[in-house]
Amino acid sequence: MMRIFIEILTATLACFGFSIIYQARPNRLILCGLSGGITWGVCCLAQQFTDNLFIYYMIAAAFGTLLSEFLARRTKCPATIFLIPALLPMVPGGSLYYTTFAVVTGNNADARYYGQRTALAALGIAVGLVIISVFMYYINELKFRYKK
Amino acid sequence: MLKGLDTHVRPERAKDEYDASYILSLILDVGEEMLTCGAEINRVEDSIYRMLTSYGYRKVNVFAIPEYISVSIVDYTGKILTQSRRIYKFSNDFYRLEQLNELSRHTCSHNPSVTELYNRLENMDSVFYAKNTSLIALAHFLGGAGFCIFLGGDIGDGFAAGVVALIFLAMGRFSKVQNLNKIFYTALSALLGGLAAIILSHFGIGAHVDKILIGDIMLLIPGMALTTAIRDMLCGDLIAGILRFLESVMVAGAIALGYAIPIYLLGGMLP
Repeated sequence: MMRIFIEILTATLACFGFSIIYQARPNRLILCGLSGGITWGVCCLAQQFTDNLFIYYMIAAAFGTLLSEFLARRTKCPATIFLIPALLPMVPGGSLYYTTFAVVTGNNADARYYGQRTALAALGIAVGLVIISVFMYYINELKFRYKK
Repeated sequence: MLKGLDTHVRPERAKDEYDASYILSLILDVGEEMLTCGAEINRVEDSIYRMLTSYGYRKVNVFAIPEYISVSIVDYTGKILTQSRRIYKFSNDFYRLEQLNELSRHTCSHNPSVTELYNRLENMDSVFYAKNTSLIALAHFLGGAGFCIFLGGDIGDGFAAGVVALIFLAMGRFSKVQNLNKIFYTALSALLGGLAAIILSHFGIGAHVDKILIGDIMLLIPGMALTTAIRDMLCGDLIAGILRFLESVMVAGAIALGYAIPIYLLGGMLP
């Protein structure tokens, strides 16, 4: 439990730092940091119900995309600004590095294990993201047509 | 490579305020800057298409991959125009992206003239803290330390990761190596970072070298490149997805190579 709390706190701080590096507008910085922390919290929560890495990454990514679309509607700016910090803690940078490091040093078992994890995580995030963004796109089109 | 020349074309020789070739050129500049600031391929193609159709051009065909945009239109007089852009640099600049998004909405609804478009593009500013090195340094420290503790390091590891992140920042600010070759630059900064991490842990700051190094990896891997690649592929932009995927694998290889060299060389120094 303590571990999860520390993870959420550090994810928030790191996303806050990264949104300064990515030059977000000053009044969006706190929201960017919080969206990263909350999405990681949802990821931890989903992890309690299933052991499948693909499934819980997909659920968390779908939640993060919904959150960033909601924030984008409220603040009237592109969703990318909240989406990148929200998904940043889940990006499989660490396991991508472990994979290539194992390949470079010739450790085949590790390479297979971490490669599988990296592929599953990246695929899970992308699938969750695409489902929600396609859904949002069609809602927007319907709204547009209805207005006309 | 194009440096310093990549400003917007000043519409001095435009025939009138709605000269199609200059409008097309400036709108392509908007699209180019959106790609440079980190927008998705989908969004860029969609924005360019919407802006150009709002001016009443027919047969608007847009094609974009991360390094290239090409647009072909037929204007009201029936003249066929094709222009393209090659894109060299990538970064994430959310403030500029927000302004570009506003400009694109404005263009769709008001159809501004050539001069107005040019002035709006030229007068776009960056966020006020972009030049404030101490704040950016603090952000790098927070990012590196945060991700290090997040991925399982302790407080000492976090501090060491923050210091290594500052080295990456110094590499980006004070060296001109960045302009040479992205893969080489990444490998070089990974090498220096790995060296610094091992030396720091030798002096007792941070116990787990691998945790320090993976905390800093997020600063080197261009934000979410792998996930964006798969997302592009799922959305149907196969070429863009494959290019981004290959790029992220190459960059990860460069990082692993850069980290592996100091670990081999100074392996005896590890406790």
